[in-house]
Order: sequence, then C-alpha cells, then structure tokens
Amino acid sequence: MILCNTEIQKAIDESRLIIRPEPLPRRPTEGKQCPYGTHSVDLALADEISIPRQGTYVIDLTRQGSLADFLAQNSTRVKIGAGQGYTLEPNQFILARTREYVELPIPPQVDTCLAARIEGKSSRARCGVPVHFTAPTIHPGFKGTLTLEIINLGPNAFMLRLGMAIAQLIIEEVRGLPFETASQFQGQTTPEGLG
Amino acid sequence: MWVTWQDTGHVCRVTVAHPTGLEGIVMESCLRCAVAPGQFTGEYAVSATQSNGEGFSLFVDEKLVDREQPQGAEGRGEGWLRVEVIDRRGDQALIKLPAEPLEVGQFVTVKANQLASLCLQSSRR
Repeated sequence: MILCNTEIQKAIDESRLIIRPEPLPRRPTEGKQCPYGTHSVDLALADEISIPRQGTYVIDLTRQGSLADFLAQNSTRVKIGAGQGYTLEPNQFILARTREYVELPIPPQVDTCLAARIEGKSSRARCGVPVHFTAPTIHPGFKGTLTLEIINLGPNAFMLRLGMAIAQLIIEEVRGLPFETASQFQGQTTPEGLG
Repeated sequence: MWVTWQDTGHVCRVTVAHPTGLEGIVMESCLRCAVAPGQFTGEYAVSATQSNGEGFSLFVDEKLVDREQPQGAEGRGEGWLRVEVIDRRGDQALIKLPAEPLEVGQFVTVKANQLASLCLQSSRR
C-alpha cells in the first residue's frame, strides 16, 4: 500500500520514516513550494556531484573486490555552490546525492515496516534528464542519503541547481518482517551461508 | 524485534526476539578491510575478502569505518568496517554488511580471523 501525503507525515511523526532535514512546508503555503504530492515527497539535490572521468580503462565487473575503489579513483568530486549550479552537458553522466538523509527503520514488536521507491520528476524527464535509471527500491532498514544516477539524454545542456527538487520518494508499507534476524540464518547451507 | 541492547564497551550485543518466538543474537563486530576515499565526501570505498578468497567492495558512510594511521598515498590504508555477525561456526562467520557490495550480496561469509570484537574506537552508532 502506498502512503498518501498525510500518512507520510504521520510516519515521520511516528519515526517510522526519518527524513532529515524534514521536507517543509507540510501544506501548500503562499510563497513557498510544498514538497508533498498526493502520495510522494520531493527530495532536493545536495551540494556535491561525482563525475566519472573518461579514460581508456574498461569497467570490468569481474574485477573482484576492488570495483568501488576503481570507480572512486576514476571520478572527480565537484561542489555545487549556492546560486552557481552545474551545467550538465548532453550525454553527460554524473552521480549526485539527495540533500536529505533517509532512514526506514525496522521497528520492534510490529509486523510492518516501510520501504520506498525513488522516482524522477516528469518536468526533468521532459528535458531529457532522468535522475535515476535503475534500482529505485529503498529497502526497509536503509539509512543514508540516496545516490542518483543522472544523465542528460536531451539535446540541450541542463542546469543542476543546489537544493532543486530532483527526485520524489514514494513510501510503501511492507507486511511481515524481513529476514533480518539471526535465527533465520541458522543452519543455512546456501553459497552465501555457512555450510 | 530488538528487546535489549547492551553496549559492552566496544561491542554491541543485540538480542533479537522474533514475533514467531525464535530468538538469536546479532553481534556487532568489525571487519578488516582496505579503505580508500569514496566517490563523495563523507564516504569511503572499502574492500575485503570472502572466506572463499573472492573479494568484494562497497561504498559506506565514513562513520562506519575506523581507519588505522598512518594512511598511505591518496588517503589509502587499512581499517575496520562495522558489520553484524549473523552466525559463526568454526573459522567462518556469516556477516551482514552495512550496504550492498558491488560484486555480491549484503550477506557474505568471511574468515572469522578477519573480524575483531574491538574496533579502534568505541561504537559511534
């Protein structure tokens, strides 16, 4: 079940959903952009992007154990200053993060928790700029900022501004408890378990 | 689910009581890893090895890593990554990583001697 905006706010009040800083205002207010849709909440662009460097290297997913380091070595961090922006050129791919820290706790003593999906915004998509293109699912238990994969597929440059609404979060209720508990791994003999 | 939480100085023991009545212990521990700067500020790229010898790597919040001094060139070095030990048998341990690695799933089996109950600093969680 997808939560509507008032249920999202209730989940925040009950700490079943943590979004810091909290998206405000909670209701449409004169002169201020309300980040809530009927069943979504907007997230903003943080002040740093990571730009993969072009090179002659080949990204090889079979390079066991060092892919994270390899990706980090071959990317450049760029700060987006307030009022400055970053011009995303056609066909350019970058990584960015949401300004908001998101946490989906698995609460004690209940058999439901929350999951979320990050989605783009149609206004950006119309310009040819998807802000994520895989793995929209945010699992119960997740905590952290959300990494965005942004690419400009349009014919024109696109300006990324610090704090702009860049994505939206859809919150869903998960029934039952995920197998996060030790007891459910007892006796596991699968390849990732203990034989 | 979590009914008790004991901070034993450096190692947090969490008693897990499942609504089904099953119970177990999840122990927070630290995994030996190589540490390098990540793609963003406040993030590290860490890598470690599974018990079968295959490596894995992931990006994690820097708060989850205790780095050893001194660090090498370009901020590289060794450190300890906070993980949850799900099960431990003989010289192997099934652990849950704080994020999903790029190469494998979030639950991996490592050699128990790669784990330390004492991190460099007390728990910062």
